[in-house]
Amino acid sequence: MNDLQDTDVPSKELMFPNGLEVSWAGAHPFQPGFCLGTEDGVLHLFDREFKSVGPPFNASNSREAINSVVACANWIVTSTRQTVTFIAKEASNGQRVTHELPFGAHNLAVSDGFVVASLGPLGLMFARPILNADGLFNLGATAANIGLNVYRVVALPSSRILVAAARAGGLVFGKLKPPEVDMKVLSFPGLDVVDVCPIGTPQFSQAIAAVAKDGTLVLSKDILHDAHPRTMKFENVQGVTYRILSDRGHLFVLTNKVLYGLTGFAERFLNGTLNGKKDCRILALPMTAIDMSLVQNELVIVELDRIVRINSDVLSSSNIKAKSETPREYTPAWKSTEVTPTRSVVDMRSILAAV
Amino acid sequence: MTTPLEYADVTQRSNYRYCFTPKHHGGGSSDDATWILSADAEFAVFDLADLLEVCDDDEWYYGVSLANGELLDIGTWAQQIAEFPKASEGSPWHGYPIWTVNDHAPPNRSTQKMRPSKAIFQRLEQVGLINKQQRKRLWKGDHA
Repeated sequence: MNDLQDTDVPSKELMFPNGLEVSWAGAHPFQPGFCLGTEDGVLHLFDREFKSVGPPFNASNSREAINSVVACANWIVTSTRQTVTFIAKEASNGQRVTHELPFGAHNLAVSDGFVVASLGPLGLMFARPILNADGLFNLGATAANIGLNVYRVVALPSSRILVAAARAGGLVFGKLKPPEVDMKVLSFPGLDVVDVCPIGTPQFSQAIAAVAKDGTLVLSKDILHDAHPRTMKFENVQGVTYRILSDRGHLFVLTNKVLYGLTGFAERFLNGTLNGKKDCRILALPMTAIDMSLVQNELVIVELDRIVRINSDVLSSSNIKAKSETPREYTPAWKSTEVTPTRSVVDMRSILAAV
Repeated sequence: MTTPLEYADVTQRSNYRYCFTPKHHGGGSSDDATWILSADAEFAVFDLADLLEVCDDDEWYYGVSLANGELLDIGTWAQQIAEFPKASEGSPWHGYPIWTVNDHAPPNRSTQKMRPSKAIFQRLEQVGLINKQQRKRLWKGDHA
């Protein structure tokens, strides 16, 4: 175990061997452990001690950089800017069956047996891998252009609710019921949402936190029914915001310069004690990262030449050097609209037949 | 804009002419990539791409707009890279912001590899227009 340089934060790190350019890191799709995706479309699987589990394998024929990995039924599903690829969990004679969709995606989520992909300007794709009685792969899939730039999508864990960050389009959300698209949008002028994460508890199963490119935070206890989410910003946040994650009631915001840990921020929001008068404890860790994921209470952060793992519970420690700051709260003119697909929902069967 | 408008200057390295097309300046459909930069700033993206020779084997150029080392959004939908396809002989060049993910749904989608290629991102880094962190973010389809 190492401490991050010039901090008292315990962390673990994995330096990349020469030539390994990692673009994404997260959970092993099927067992405790980790998964690394590379800039040339290859997946490496590891156990909890970061020992390799089997040989690396090609996860996108595009050879583009992996930007998301999920598990759905017996398939590992990856995305790149050019493809969404379904890869069989089990290899046979060293080969894995793969099926590739010619859609580029920013990230993937899984809800109720569906893989949901954020296709940027093409909207959302819902794909359900099914094995026919004869064992052949079939894909029930639809894509819907909703006239927004859908950048990142998450599935709330205890429901069939999807929430997406749609950049200047705002927050898009609704219940999963493909092939129909029945979603709403919440936005206000100047908002540029780049990521969203669930912060729910059994009491608040539809609670989310989102973050804008300038660090503005958006919090809702019930995204389906909240017309005016709380909106605030810590003025000292530096850099271009990339990601937001939540664990154990804490929030973590990654920018191109700093990882911020907001102690108990989500928990206080949900229990009503985030009142704007009491300072928030913020841990600021300077780093040059490109992405992060959450794996069993650990932040897994991809830096330029290494993976850094930090237990989310570090924010509960009284030993860390956190600073106090009170966020500035805003009351923007939130506007709620219904989503109407600008193009009819695309039937993927014909597309797949043509590929 | 309803008619193409040619910029008054030419690029400093190749003396390329440049024009602003209605399609990418609000005169196209809602699906068309649309610039948000001023005319001078848009030309500066092209001029710098030409000056630093950020181009692929087909002589398509790629550029970015920077402020204090940070990449600016250059298009209405938060695009950060511009593409300038090779102009035909004697014609002015033009360009447009490009998506970071494939934006053409099948069956209209080209079977060609994605543009820009990885080599372009590496070239942008090599000439100092972007840093390694930005290159890695852009290459996987993220904003930087």
